[in-house]
Amino acid sequence: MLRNAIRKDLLLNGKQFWGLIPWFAWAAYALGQEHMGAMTAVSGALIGALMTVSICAREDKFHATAFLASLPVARRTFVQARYLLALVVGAVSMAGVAAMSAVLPWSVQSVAEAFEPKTLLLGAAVAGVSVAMLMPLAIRFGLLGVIGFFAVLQVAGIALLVLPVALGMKDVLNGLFRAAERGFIGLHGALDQPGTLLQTAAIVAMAVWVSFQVSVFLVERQDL
Amino acid sequence: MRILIANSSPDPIYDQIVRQVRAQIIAGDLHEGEPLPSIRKLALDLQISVITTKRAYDELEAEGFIDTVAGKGTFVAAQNAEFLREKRMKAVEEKMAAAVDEARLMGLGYPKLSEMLRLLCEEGS
Amino acid sequence: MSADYALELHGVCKRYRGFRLDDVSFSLPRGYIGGLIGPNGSGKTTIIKLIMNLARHEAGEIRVFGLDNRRDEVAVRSRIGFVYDVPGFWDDQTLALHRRALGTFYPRWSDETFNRLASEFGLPLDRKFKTLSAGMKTKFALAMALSHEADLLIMDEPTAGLDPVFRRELLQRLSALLQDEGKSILFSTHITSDLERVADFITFVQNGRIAFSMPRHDLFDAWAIVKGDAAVLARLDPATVRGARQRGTGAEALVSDAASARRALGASALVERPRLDDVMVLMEGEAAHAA
Repeated sequence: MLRNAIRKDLLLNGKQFWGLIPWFAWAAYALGQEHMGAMTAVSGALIGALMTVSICAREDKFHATAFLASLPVARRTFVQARYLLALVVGAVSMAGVAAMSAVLPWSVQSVAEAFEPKTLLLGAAVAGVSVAMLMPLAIRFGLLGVIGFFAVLQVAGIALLVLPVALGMKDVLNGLFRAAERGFIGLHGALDQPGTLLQTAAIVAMAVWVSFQVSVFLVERQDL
Repeated sequence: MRILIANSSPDPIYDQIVRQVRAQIIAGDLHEGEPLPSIRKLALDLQISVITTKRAYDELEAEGFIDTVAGKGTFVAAQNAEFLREKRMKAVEEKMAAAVDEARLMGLGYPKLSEMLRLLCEEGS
Repeated sequence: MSADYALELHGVCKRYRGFRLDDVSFSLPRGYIGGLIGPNGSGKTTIIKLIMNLARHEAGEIRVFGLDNRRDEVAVRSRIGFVYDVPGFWDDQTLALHRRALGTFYPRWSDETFNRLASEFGLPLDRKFKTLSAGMKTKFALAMALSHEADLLIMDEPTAGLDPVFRRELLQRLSALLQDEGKSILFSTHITSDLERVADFITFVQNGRIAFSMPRHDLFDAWAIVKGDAAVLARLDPATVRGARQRGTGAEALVSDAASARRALGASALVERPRLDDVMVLMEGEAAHAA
């Protein structure tokens, strides 16, 4: 049944992935720039995973959820398929970057850099956490859920920008941004150590697992 | 077996079927052991609901006119000649009772009525 | 015995904001067609959703072929052919792709059956779903529902949007399906003539409750519409009166015992076989009265 569910996603929703083409074009360009290997790989994982999440909005638009729930399949199975697909598409996008960096004549990246364990993990982490946050919303609330999430993010972002200035705390804001930047670079650097590598992997895996449980819970209780 | 359903008739459809089948069996048009269409086939042919044909067959079976053999189908039941004669007598009696009721409404008494009956019987022969 | 029934609902309840389904009970024996009739918003679609477990019922029991519709939902739905009133298909994909992607979910799916039905219905398999007319969309849903040897066909307003010719054809096709006495059909509609034509059992849903559920001969032969003077109609046994209304030309009453009405009123009133829409109108009036 899981196999059928994945197959159905690929057949009926595969169209969604044409949206990755613009990103691939950008990636091909980016690979010609110095030090863009890791960034391109990570962005690939993220975009691939998010594209899969957006399938939820597509099915919501077509009112397909009720029809799918009328099939002799547990709703949970469709949720499993969606998460698995997100993981796979993210991984395939990263592999695509590695392939491009090796094959494209203007690529200045070494395949090794794109394939570094810490880059892979960073990609998995970024993609994994994003999926963990967005999938339950998207799968339960469809298009509105995703839009709602980004609307809230935007409002929070604007508040974060405006409030400190209004309250005269501009320096605090700059300080925060710099700390975040340092944090990201720091994390990338820290991932050099195997210990941190494993810890991060474990945390991401757990986040995705929790997200999956939440999705199943929401979907199974939904009145269609 | 010939069945004609009058949609506009006030009589329930299952009743029309029962009466027609019963009449055909009594008249000998349907013979003992003859197979009848299944309730579903009959429903399809007559373009009526299955539950209606089922009700008709149930009644005919209760009255002893037909038998359903599991796995084989529905057949005209063995008719007791005496039983049949009794049924036919009853049918004649019912018709007479109806005529008597009508006569009464008009004020016709037994003498006039028996005269009419005699004429009708002589007409027939 | 439970397995002799295609469908059994006992005391089913469901509460939504502003609407409630209360103590819904009715059954459909195997091999028959059951019709759910009622005004829009009365709860027909909700009942169907509950049977399919698209929505979870809050109280009561729903059994399909003797199985619990929630605990054994996958086994139950593998034997149900479902036609919803909202088409839930992928607008930008072809019918053929739908068949490829969705057929395999059913253990007894048959591509041959689907292709045969598609050609009988005139469905263009290489066209995208959004290019189809409303009637075609319903036919497609029907073809999908009839291609996996479903033992129970459940349809929500299947004839809405269909031209009269195909509607008649569909009803005939449904009757023909029942030549196999293992198959059963439940459909909801607000078009009374559809039920009058084919339904074996008629269930009237009114304001989230079951007003009545009975075999057709009880409704059409035992019940009656009585027409006459209001004064005359007053002589009817009130226990049998299910609805009444005044008209300019006299009064009408719906009674559940035609024989007793004839005995009570004789020739002073008209006692007729009821039409389903008359039944609905007169019972609606009664419900409004009681409210």
